[in-house]
Amino acid sequence: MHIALTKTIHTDFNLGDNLLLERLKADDRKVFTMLFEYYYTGLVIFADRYMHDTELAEDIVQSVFVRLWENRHAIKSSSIRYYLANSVKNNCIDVVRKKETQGKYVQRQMNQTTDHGEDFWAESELKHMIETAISDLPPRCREIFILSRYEGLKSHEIAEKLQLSQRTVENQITKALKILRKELKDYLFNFFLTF
Amino acid sequence: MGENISNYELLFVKEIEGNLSVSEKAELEEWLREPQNRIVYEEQKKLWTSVDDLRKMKTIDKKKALKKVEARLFGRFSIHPIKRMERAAAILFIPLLLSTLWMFYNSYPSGTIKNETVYNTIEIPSGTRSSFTLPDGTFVYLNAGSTLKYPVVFGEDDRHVELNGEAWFEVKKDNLHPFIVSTSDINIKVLGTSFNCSAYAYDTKIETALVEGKVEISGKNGKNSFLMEPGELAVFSKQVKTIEKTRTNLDKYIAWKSGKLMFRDDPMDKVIEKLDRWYNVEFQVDDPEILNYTYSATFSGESLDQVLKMLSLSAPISFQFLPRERLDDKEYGVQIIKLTKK
Repeated sequence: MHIALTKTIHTDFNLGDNLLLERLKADDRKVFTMLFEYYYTGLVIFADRYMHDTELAEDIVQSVFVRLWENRHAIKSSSIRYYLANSVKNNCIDVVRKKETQGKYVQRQMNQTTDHGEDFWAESELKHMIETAISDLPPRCREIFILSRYEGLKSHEIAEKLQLSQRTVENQITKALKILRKELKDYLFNFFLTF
Repeated sequence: MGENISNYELLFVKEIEGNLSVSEKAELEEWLREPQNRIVYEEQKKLWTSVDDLRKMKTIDKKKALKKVEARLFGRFSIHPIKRMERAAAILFIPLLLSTLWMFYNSYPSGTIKNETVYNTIEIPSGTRSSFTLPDGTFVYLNAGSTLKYPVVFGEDDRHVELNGEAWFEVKKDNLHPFIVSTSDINIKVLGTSFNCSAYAYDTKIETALVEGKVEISGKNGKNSFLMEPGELAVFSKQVKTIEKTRTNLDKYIAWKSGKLMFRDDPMDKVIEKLDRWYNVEFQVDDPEILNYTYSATFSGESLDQVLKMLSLSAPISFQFLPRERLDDKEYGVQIIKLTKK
């Protein structure tokens, strides 16, 4: 149910792309701000997979937005989402290559990042997907999963905190993962499977 | 089958947390040989990192980033109309007072390693600026906190100098002996021209502004070279290792050599950095928000106190001179100025 909702939101935004692009070309700064707020954090995380350096990832994404505004009249792409993701990706690859020629990066890191493909979610999309799915978990299972994934606690720390055995905690996390994986299958993994 | 997956998924949690025993690791690897299992494993990992991603996204300061981007695109942020008028007045009432420049000439021979080359090093401390002429007749004006190293006698092939900081060059024309300025990351090759180069070691950028003639910019190894035309600005980013060339008004890049301090939509951190060097003081900023303001003004010969007053009129900032610390040797430490949000 909630998944269907997510999909609708996502598609609506894509459908609105033509209109948004039109507004952008008409120098509408509000649309620029809106796009920035919607996509910025997601793109930083996307860039960080290539860069392994959040500060540098932020610099790259900021430059991409600067160029989005500067080149707004020349944009041919019909999808802003695709345009942004692609620009960020190309910039990252350029920078990584430059660093590689300076011997700062090893080839291995490049290979690791290629299999992420075009996988990129805006923060609100990811938040909506994951948090609605988590709220559907059985209470105990949810509590443990949140302690593990949101508060970054290790299984034995959670076990101590909740007076449970470590085995039970591991079981609950496993159970949560299994449920979430099924719930989010179509959304989180479609990129991966088509890559 | 269901039982099997469950057992394996447990291993996944252990693996992530680094609690996998040797036999469990072997068990996991064995299990992963099945392509079907491999997919489950990758999906699991994907899910795990997606939750991590979401957590990281929440820690990113989106507002600050947007302000930075807006500053780059649209310049200063809205300043109240009245304050804007006050600022205009500040620019209009520039006293045509050329500050007396005194020279700190620290010339000494150093290094006789190769070819018996003897170098001069000219060091200009913060708070002063200085001009001089090199052995080939090239005029150099060195900005505060900068160092220029050059051979007492230029080599047979070229005229090579090393710059750390900011300098204005009016290079004597000599087609047979190119004039080369080395900075930490790039080289600028000149035939005969006037240009400004700002290459402070602690800066993230190296800026070259070409006013006249032609220069060629290249990496330290001489590769990736390109030519600049008059009126162009080349900005090298030390972080990203790329250079961007734009055509822009170069006034603010060369104003300093006429004793003017010029800001054009410059972010406050740049403004502070320049004032640091210009007046040999230090700033203490309480609220990082201040660094997001941008500022435009021209000063010519104003005292630091006057400049700061002007600054506090056009941005919501107040300033305070902190008492100077007395050092052991009876001298006073550098003046520190505290900036706070109004």
